[in-house]
Parts: sequence; structure tokens; C-alpha cells
Amino acid sequence: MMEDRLAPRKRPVSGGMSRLIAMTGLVFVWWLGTTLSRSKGLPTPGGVVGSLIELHKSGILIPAFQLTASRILTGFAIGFLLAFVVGWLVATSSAVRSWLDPWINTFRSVAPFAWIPMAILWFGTGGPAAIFIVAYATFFPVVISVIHGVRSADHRLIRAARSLGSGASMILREVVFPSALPNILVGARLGMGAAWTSVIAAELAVATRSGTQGGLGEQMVITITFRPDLNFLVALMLVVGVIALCLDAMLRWLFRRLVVWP
Amino acid sequence: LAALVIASGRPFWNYLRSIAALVLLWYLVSRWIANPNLMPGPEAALPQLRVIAETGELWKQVTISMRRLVIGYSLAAVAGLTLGVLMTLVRPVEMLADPVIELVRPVSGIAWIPLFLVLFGVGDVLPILVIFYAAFFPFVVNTYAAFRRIPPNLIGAAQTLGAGSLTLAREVIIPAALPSVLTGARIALGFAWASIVAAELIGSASGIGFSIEWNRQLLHPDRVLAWIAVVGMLGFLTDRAALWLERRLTPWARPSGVEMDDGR
Repeated sequence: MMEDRLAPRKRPVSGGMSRLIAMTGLVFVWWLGTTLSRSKGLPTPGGVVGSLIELHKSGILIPAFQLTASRILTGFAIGFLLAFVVGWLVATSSAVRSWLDPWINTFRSVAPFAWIPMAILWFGTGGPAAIFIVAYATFFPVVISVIHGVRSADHRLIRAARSLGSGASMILREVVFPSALPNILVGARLGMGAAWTSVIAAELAVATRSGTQGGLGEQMVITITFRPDLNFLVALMLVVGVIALCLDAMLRWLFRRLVVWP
Repeated sequence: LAALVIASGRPFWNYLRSIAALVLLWYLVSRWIANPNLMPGPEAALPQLRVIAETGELWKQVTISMRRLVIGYSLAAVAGLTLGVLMTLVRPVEMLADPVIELVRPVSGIAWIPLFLVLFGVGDVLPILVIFYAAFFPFVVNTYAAFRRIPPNLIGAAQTLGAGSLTLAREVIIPAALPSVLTGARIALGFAWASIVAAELIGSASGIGFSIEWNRQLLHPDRVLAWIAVVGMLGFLTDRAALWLERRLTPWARPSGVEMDDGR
């Protein structure tokens, strides 16, 4: 039985149709569960949709989204650029590597969220603290992917290019960079996932300590402190999930556009 | 022999030299900022490690966090492995679970914290559930992918040579799937470890994450840095232990490419 199940598939399991069915099923089970249970205040599908509309109409959703998006994009850009430069230097120069490798390993072991209190001390409870945490969380997956990608360039190709008379900068540009690009983009995807999680974490932490308004995470905290309406909360979580999906899809699209060679 | 000592000693000295430079840099930055409330230097922060160890606070909070980690992680392991295997064996489960996982997974464990806060309040349940949620997906996805990726000709070859179902499972399927499953287990540990810090920092009154934030509120940044160092050391140790175990249990596996562990 197991042998047959392990045979290669002819058609993909997650087609659009089965995804739609699963989604409808999920919503139905949720609706059934909340209808049958007696406890009041549980979030219901209808209530969440209502809250989404209300969130949009009251003009909370778009500004909160814009603020969170600007934080994640700034933090991601800083973290990615820094990681690219550091990773490239570490991978191409053994002197830099022997100095910086232990630093990277030391800080990589510290969960980004552990820095939130220090970030609040340094930057206050506004955007810069969140940006710092996002940049920190982005840096490590990207730097490791860049190092790995650059170092795994095929030595035969490098030697072939050299014997055809190309200089160091040309080899880096024409051989090393293209072969490192897939790894770098995978790192970017991992970094974006980490960035998105950490921006929410930072906003939640900042808001529970200070009650400031602003991004989606802060809006969640305001919802549970001033209006304990779980429909609102789940609506916000849904927005968070959809944005995560969109960001990932964007990076995947970029991957297909940029990496045209097999 | 001398060559051997030099060969093995070199990375260690490099490491020591680099860390010493880091501490020196830290010291200089703290002197430059000259505000111990913002940036305590190493001479202020490192002795705090001894202080929290001597008052017993270190041991107390670390055991609290570790207990939550072990409970949440084990539950995630059991649930994730079971679902992963079921998805491989039973087609309806696969058709139902695969899209649902893809839909729910983008909502990170952190985003559930406010909801859990309302439903369960501050306590043990919230961090355990967040750890469970964070560790569950790497387990499921990697277990499922592990069985998917077994080369069919390996199975065919074993069957041609007369292997029964049991032999096939023991000699081919499990050895082929185990490396990927263990990689998933290590990634899950990284996620669990990062999310326990966040969960305790935001929605708990005990544990390592809480201690970091609590000391900030007490205006003890030197102790905040000491706790961050504790997080780093424990994170490093758990990752190394998992890596060691992975290599020990599956020596036949090729080293996996990009490290995927990261805070989530």
C-alpha cells in the first residue's frame, strides 16, 4: 500500500480546485463549531467579514497597513543590503571570514525578539525600534545564503573563465554572481518570512508596553485592550496572513523572472 | 604532531581573537556613548550573569522556559509526524490537509499571541501553544516532503529483490526519509526557541523572555544584556546539540544546503 502511495504523482495535489474546497470546508467547520458551541464571544466567519468591512470603513486598516509595510520594507532593505555586502566579503576573503564568522555565529544564536527591549531603550517605542528588529531578523538568513551561494560557485567554471582571460571582477560578475543568485533569492525569501514575523512581534511588544497606535500589530493590542472583540482580532490576523502570502508570491515571481537559467 | 595541534588549534585561536575584538568594540562603543542606561559596557553586563546565577533567578527562569519548550515541542513533534505520515499514506487526508496547511501557515505563531492572550490569559498555556504552532509546520512539511522525495526506483529495486513491506519500510523508506525529517526537527527547534522568547516577552509573567523585558522596566539594561546573552548561549547549545544528533543519527545523509533555521 505504502509503495503505491509513494509512486510519483501525475497531477499536483494542491490545484486551485482542491484549495477552494479545503478553504470552504475550513470555513464551514469553523462556522459549525461556533454555532454549536454555547460560549459567547467566539469569532465567527460572518463576524470576521463584518469586522473586515468595518475596519476598512473606519479608516484604520489602510494607514495601519501602510505603516507596517513601510517598517518591514525599510528594515528588510537595510538588513538585506548589509547581509549582501558582509556575506560577499566573508565568502571572498579569508581574512574577513576569520574575523567576522564568529561574530555572525554569536549573534545568530540570539533570537531577534530578545533584542526588542534593548531596541525600545535605544529607539523608543516608535517605528525605528521595529525597523531595527526587522533588519536584525532579515540579516542572518540572507547572510548565510549569500556566503553559501558565493562559495558553492563551480570551480571548473571559474578556472575556465580565468584561462579564457577574464579578470577577477569579471569572474565575480559573470560567473560567481549568477551561480550565487538562486541561493541569494532563497535567502531573501527566508529573510522576508523572518522580517514579517518580527515586525508583528515588535509591534505587539511595543504596544503592550506603551499603548501606542500605528501598525497592524499595535492595532491587535488596541483591539484586545479597549474592545475585546475577537472578530476584529481574527480579521487582523487574516490580513497579516494574506500579506505574508502576497510577499512570498512576489519573491517567488521575482525568482522566476531573475533566474532564467536552470 | 605539532602540525596536528596547529591545524586543530588554529580555528580556536581565530575564534578567540575575533570574540576578544568584539568585546573590545563593545567596550569602546559603550565608552563612546557614555550612558550606562542606554549601553552598558561588558564590564557592567558580564558580572550580571554571575548575579542572576547566584540569586537563583537564572536557574528558575530557564527551567520554566525549558519546561514550556519541551512540552510544546514534543506535542508538535507527535502531531506533526503523525499528520505527515498520514498525509503520505491516506489520500483524502492529503487532499484536505495540504491546502489547509498552506493557508494557515502564513499566519505566524506570533500573530496568534493576542488571541491566545484573550482566550487563555497570561500563564503557561499561551507560550506552549505558540511553541506548538511554530514547531508544528516544519515537522509536517518536512515529514511529508521526506516521503515524497524517496526515489521510486529505490523502492522498485528493493521489491524486485524480493523485499516485503516490513523490510522495505525498515531498510529503504525510513533511512531515505529520516534525514529530511530530522532537518525538519532542527528547524522546528529553532522556530520554537525564537517564539518562546517572543511569547514570554509579550504574554507571560515568567520565563526567559519575561526576564529580559522585566529588567528593562526595572531600568537594569546591564541585566537585560546578561539575559540576552543567556538566550544566545542556550540558542547556540540547542542548535549544536540538534546538529550533532542529526549527524549522529543519519551519517549517510548529505549535508543539507542552506540553513533554514531562523526566528519565526
